[in-house]
Amino acid sequence: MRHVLLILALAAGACRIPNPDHCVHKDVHSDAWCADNSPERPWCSPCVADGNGCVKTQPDPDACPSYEPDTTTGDDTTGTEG
Amino acid sequence: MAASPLAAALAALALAAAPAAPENMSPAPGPWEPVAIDMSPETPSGPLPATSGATSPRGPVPAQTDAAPASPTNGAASTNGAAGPAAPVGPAARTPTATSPGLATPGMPGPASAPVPSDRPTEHVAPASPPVPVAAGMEGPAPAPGGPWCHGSAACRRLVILGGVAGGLGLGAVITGVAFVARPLAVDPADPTSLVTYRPAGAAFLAVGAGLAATWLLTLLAARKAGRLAQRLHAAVP
Repeated sequence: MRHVLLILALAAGACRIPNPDHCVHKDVHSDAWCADNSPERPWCSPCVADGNGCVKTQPDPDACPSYEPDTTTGDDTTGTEG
Repeated sequence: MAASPLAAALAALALAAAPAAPENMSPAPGPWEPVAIDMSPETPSGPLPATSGATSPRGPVPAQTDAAPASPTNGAASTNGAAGPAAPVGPAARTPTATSPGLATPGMPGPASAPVPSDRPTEHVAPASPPVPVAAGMEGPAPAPGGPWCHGSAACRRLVILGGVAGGLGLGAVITGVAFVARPLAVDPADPTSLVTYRPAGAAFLAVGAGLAATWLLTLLAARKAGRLAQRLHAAVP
């Protein structure tokens, strides 16, 4: 049903643009960005929209296949660089 | 060359009495020089009859000189003579035709307005403006019912209709565009990292609507002009 609504919206002239507020688009190291900006939710889930996509637990790859952990894990506490 | 034996004898006497002429001069100097440019056709019966009715004591030669400027063609000498001095026969009364060849000699002085027969093909000049059928139907003097704005002009009515269609479409496009632009951004439920927006579509609708509105305005102006033209035509033609 949601896909049908999406198709109808696109057919009506809707456009899909990246969500600039989502943690995925905030930084290359999205988990680190969430850890910096919301320490209680240090994981960035591409399947959640609330809270800029930051979640408390690491996303399950089965439930959220598009999740990719950072190459540099959460030990990087100095923030985002590069 | 000589119109009569008397003239020929006088010319011979003048030539004998005159000194030797240079090589580049005419061989017939003297008071009889006008005789040398006599272009009247010689008739078997001798000199032509008096053309203007005037008699000269010098004979027919002055009569020819008098007739030469008046009738460059001289083909109608009999008619001039028949008309007499009272007949107002002028260059305009003569109509040189192609059936009288040899009458127009190059170098012969004549009236500037005298037509010269020519071998050039006749040029067919088109009229400046072709006749316009008035009763064609659209904008004629016939009483054409119509609105008070178009004055019976079919073109005006068409423009008004087209303008109305364009204006309606433009208004719809503008309203749709405004609605799309005013629609807020929404998170795509299928992909939370994306947003669904209608602003590009709204901008496109607004642009199309603006173009259609401009078309409607210009069409309305053109229709108004057509209506005024029809009004002037109706006023000009009773």
